[in-house]
Amino acid sequence: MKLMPSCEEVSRLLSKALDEPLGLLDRGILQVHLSMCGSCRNVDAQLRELHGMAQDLFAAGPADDAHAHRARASHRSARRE
Amino acid sequence: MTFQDASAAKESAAAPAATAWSATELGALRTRLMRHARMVLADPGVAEDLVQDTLLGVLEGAAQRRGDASLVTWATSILKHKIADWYRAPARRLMVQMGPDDDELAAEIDADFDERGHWSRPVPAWQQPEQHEERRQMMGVLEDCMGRLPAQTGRVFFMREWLGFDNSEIGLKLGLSGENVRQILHRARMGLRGCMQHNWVGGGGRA
Repeated sequence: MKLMPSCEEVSRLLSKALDEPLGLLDRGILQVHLSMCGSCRNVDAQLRELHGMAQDLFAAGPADDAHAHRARASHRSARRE
Repeated sequence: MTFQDASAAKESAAAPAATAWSATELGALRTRLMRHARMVLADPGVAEDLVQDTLLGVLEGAAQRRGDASLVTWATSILKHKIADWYRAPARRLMVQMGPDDDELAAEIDADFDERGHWSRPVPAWQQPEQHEERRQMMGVLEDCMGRLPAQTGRVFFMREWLGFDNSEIGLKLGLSGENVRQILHRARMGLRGCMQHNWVGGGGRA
């Protein structure tokens, strides 16, 4: 890992951090980058939130009205259009 | 009637528990369990068997059941343990092969970044859902997004987030290197993030 990682590399570290403890260097690199980059801070918060929500979803069962939203959620690939 | 209601009604009434579940309720529960099982198991026959086992366990155990966990929560947890045991059988070794939809997602995530690896466009913050109802809706959208993950990517993600396997165990069972597993989980999470961004934040969930 470079000392000045790109946002893409940072997103990989953020995902990795959800699976295993990061080493001292990785943590330092992340901290410096996050202090300078609002987008990566937002992605950090979002990945953590999704991780937590997935845990809750599996532990607590369904959102009862999941199907009501099925219609609203258009196909993923549409988001690039 | 939700399972929670059914469960509450059952516990307050003195009627025999074993007869408290209607065919419709069990059908809905089965559908839900199958959806989860199919996300994490490639073989539909194995998914079918483990869900069937789980439902039998639920019916047998219903009378003795204590605690206030809803039927779905309880059944999902039984299923999870059955699937984890299935994967943990010493001889179990599967090979996953990435499909075209997995590559498509990888390309979508690449497009999140420019050639220097910076975000193609700034990533806005999400507002926290304030009310219970709002969070519940958000969970519904997340569930849909998870259902739309490419098959192999979804399998790895569910093994990690649902079964609670660590990366090395996933790699061992699916014939993937540690770096592969990390990469797939990254792709899954970024894909879910993009899907939520589009369908929840940008789709009218939050004005």
